[in-house]
Amino acid sequence: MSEVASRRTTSISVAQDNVSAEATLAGERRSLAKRLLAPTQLLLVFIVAFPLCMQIYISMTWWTPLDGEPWYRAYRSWVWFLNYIDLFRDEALWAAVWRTVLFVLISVPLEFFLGLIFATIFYEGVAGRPFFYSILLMPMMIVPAVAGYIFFLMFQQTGPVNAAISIVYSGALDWNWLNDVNRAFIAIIVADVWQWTPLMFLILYAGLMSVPDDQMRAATILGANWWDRFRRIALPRIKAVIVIAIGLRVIEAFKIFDPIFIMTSGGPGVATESLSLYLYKRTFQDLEWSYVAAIGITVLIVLSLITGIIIAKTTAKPQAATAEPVEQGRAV
Amino acid sequence: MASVTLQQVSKTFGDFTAVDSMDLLVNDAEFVAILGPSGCGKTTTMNMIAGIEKPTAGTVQFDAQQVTNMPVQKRGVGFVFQNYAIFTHMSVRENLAFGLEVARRPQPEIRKKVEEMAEFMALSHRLDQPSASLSVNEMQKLAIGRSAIVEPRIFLLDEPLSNLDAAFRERMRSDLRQLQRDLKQTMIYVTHDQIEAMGLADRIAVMNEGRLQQFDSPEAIYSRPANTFVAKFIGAPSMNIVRARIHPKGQKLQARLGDLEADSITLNQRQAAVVKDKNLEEVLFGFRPEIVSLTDSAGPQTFGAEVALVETVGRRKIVHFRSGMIDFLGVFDRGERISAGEAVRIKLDTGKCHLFDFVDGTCLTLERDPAHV
Repeated sequence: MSEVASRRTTSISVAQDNVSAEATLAGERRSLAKRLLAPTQLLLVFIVAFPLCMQIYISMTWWTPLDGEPWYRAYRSWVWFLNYIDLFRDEALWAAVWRTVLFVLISVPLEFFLGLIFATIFYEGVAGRPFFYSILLMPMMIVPAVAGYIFFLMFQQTGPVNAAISIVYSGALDWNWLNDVNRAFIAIIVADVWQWTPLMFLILYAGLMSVPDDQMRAATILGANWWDRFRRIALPRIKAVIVIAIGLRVIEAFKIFDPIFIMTSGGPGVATESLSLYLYKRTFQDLEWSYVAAIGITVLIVLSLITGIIIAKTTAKPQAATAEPVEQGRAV
Repeated sequence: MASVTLQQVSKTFGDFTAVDSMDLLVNDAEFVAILGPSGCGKTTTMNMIAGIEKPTAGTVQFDAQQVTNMPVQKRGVGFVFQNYAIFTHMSVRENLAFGLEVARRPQPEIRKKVEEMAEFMALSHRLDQPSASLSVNEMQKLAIGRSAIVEPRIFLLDEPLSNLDAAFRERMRSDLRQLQRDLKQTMIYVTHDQIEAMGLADRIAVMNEGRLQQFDSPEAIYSRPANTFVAKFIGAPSMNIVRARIHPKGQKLQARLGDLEADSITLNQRQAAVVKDKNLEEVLFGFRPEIVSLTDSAGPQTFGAEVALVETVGRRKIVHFRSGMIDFLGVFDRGERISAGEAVRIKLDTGKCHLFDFVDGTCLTLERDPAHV
């Protein structure tokens, strides 16, 4: 700094000199920072921006790998927004979307309520808690594809599920779960609930554990029963956790693929074909890459809008309720 | 509003005995402090009164009613936690209304009672504010008001002042005392702070290692401690308790504190009678630092000592003495001229000294008969 300053021989005051010297230095630092960050920035461009642009480009063509042309020559079959118009008329796509939504609407609430029940039982205290805890978490640790295979075997006509139900209803032995339009759907929901209730349980249990113990005891002494304690003390405090837990599961459930692929491959017919499975089939069976790219872009836009709204709604709320400042002696 | 009776109450956790055969009778509208060091069983005792813990043996009664096996919700106790356990996600009003709401009382009654309680606790202006915004003394009032609104039979307070700084504690202490008088409630207060207990309580139950040591008024506990534990635990600096040999001198008995035979204190009649009666050769001799005085003459009732250390604490000088094998403290005014290394003569007022049994530490001179006090 002093070197820069000493070179100046004009009548500018020392103070001003220092300021400009500092400014120069700051500028140099900034450009150094930019140069150091550049490789990472470039990497990010290649990871995020490039594939996205590529997808948008392809989605505006009718290019498929069968053309025998590399993807960058896809402009030869340029069709503007025809793929996007097509997808709005694609009944099979909308049926798959609806099926997926239905699946999410059934399985996520089931997982939530089961998880909440388990979390509450654990919170209130149960004999052999550590043992049941590890048992309960086990499904979550199993690879989804393996879980799919387990349930594929379970729901065979001569499998354990039918055997168990036949104890109370002997007609169950005739049920062919995975080849029946409605039962296959139920089987998939059962598999998903089995695998993902533990995650709900884990998040909600952690949330309940964060509720101050003495507040629960204070409520008990004031005469609150189990339900009052839960509704008035615990629930308001774990609201944020519930939003996160359900949000996570909705996003995940919407992308369900592995268990369906293994259990039914979307069948019988298309009865269990989820959005992911539909996209998979259009990509790798029909090789309609440009069309799938258009669907991908549309899903991206829709999901961005939805998450944008959710984030805006949840962060706009002032968080006065969760703060716990105990300012000593403020009233003195 | 009720009296509380504990009869031979014990509580064990595995091999550990937290409370051992405790008897306690708390009168209606009395303010009782349970005082003791950490782990002495005071909180366990209170939890058993509240119904949070079940006694392993013995019974708990409120007035004439057995409550030993009654769950906490049914007992009608108000419980104020150490950190008040305010429901911080609720407003002040919702906090106050909680007990009535879970009892499914009609809304107009709830509103009326909440407003009355807020008025009483001077919280009316805060009623619709979030409870997290309250200051600490308002939180204390809210915690007490929230319990008081359901009209509990007794009030239990678990170290409610311990997480406050010293200056603020003074004020909260007087507030609390005033509240107890206004509410005319039986209050049982757990603390490890003797100053709090001495300042607040009508009677103090001193506990140690799961046993009740003494249950008496603050004055009695200070001036007539039942054993060496109470003697040492109450008062700051605590009572000097030193070993003393008993030997006869003419008709009288003397307790020799120092090395020399001259360093002896002649026992008064009552003390001598006890010692003679039990034929004791050695006792523990207790005297508060406050009764230690200096004298010029090497007369009877005096003994020699050396000043080891002088600490000046506020208005007082705390002086560490050494006399032969024994160490003890004296408290003097700040103005007293005394410095380390000096050789002095100590005079004690025999009537204010206590003799404790050398083996079990119980007070030998403790007389229930007021004629001797």
